[in-house]
Amino acid sequence: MTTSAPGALHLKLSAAELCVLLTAISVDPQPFIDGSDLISLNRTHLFQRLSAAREGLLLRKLAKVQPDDSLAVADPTRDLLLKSAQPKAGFQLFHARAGAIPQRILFSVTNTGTVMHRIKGIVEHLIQPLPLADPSAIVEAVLKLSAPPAPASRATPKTYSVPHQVMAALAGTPPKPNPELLPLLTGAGLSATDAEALLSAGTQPTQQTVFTAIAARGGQIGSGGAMWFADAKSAWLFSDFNQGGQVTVQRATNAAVREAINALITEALGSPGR
Amino acid sequence: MAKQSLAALTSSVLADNQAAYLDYYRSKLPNSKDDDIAKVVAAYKSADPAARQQFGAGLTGGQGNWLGTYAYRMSMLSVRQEANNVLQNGLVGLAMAMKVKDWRECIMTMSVLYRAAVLLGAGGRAFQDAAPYAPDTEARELLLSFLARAEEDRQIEALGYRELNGEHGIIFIYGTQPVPEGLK
Repeated sequence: MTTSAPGALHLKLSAAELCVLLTAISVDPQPFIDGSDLISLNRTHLFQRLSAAREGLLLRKLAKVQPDDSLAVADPTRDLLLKSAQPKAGFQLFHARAGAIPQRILFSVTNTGTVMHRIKGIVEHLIQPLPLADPSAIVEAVLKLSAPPAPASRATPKTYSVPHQVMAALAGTPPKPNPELLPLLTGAGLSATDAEALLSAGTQPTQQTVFTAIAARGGQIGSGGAMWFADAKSAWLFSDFNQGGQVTVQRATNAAVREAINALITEALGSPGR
Repeated sequence: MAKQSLAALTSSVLADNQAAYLDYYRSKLPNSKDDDIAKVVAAYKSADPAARQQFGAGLTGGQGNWLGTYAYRMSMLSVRQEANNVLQNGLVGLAMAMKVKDWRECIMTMSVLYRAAVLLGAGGRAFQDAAPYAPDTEARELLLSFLARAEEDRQIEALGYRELNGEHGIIFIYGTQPVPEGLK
């Protein structure tokens, strides 16, 4: 197993800086700045914001000006950005925690390593190689960022197959209470107490995480993803999104989330994580 | 050690000294002067409304300059430290100076404080939370008036600033001024 060198490059960039750098290496910045505050600027302000970003990149020596006034991006920065933007497989984690700025994290797997790209709020981008040049590093990173609360019991949680609409309702932002969901859950075999606990955690979560495998040309692949959420009383995991209108739900434990992520990575890459 | 009164702190920390004030603008961020002014702001925040109003009425132009520059520096420091309390200190510091500063200058500083608030995820709420600390109604209204501006007019670029990142984090710099070493 390869380990990345100590002191490997970590890039902390604004959306404007990322836009300038990606453009300089002929990569379309659009997918990375969707939802950023750059979109709301008028042309004059956008030009000024990008010009200032370029100035900052030069100040930090992440790029230098070429004779034709274009930017030459420093090699380590260029390599990291290309790995992040042109992976052979990609995964996305969306993590929201009450009182904190939501984060979107893109994992890009290439033949020479995995890059993690954290998008915090509307502007901050943190791009770094994962310590292990192996997809299993993704599993560890995901759990580090968004581990479900420790369960009260160590027993393997029982799984239930429930209609997709339960997950769809709880995946909304914000999720909406819907009394019609309760009979769907009890009908699938959950006790009334568990069904109420699930809906309570799902409609007012203290944390919510969605992990998805992304195909090279966008969209989900295979079984799609996993979603877990929790409140102070319980934590729940939805997985196996594409089983004929049904999804699997169980109490979320560290092991269950690990297994669900591993299954998605295996399906996307054709090799297990860990 | 007994706490110094707001008046004593103000006269010792915000001494009228043009050269020192200009050095402060470009000095290393953060530094001990930032800490000293934070103590003035904290003392002001813990004072009652009448004492705050008295503070605003008695402030000199030179003291207002210190507070205005402090507010500008806190816009950057709050983002660098991801600290909403630092941002609030900056907003309150600016509000404290509003009785003696040109309102147009105040709006310029509000643009960088607003940008910091957006970056920290607080947005206009940061202004609303700071407004009760303004020394009087006029200052409070000036602070809140920034939120009534069109989104386009709240952008730092609309007020002449530019935003870049240095080795130590975000920098807001006015016009075409070079970036001072202390802010890099």
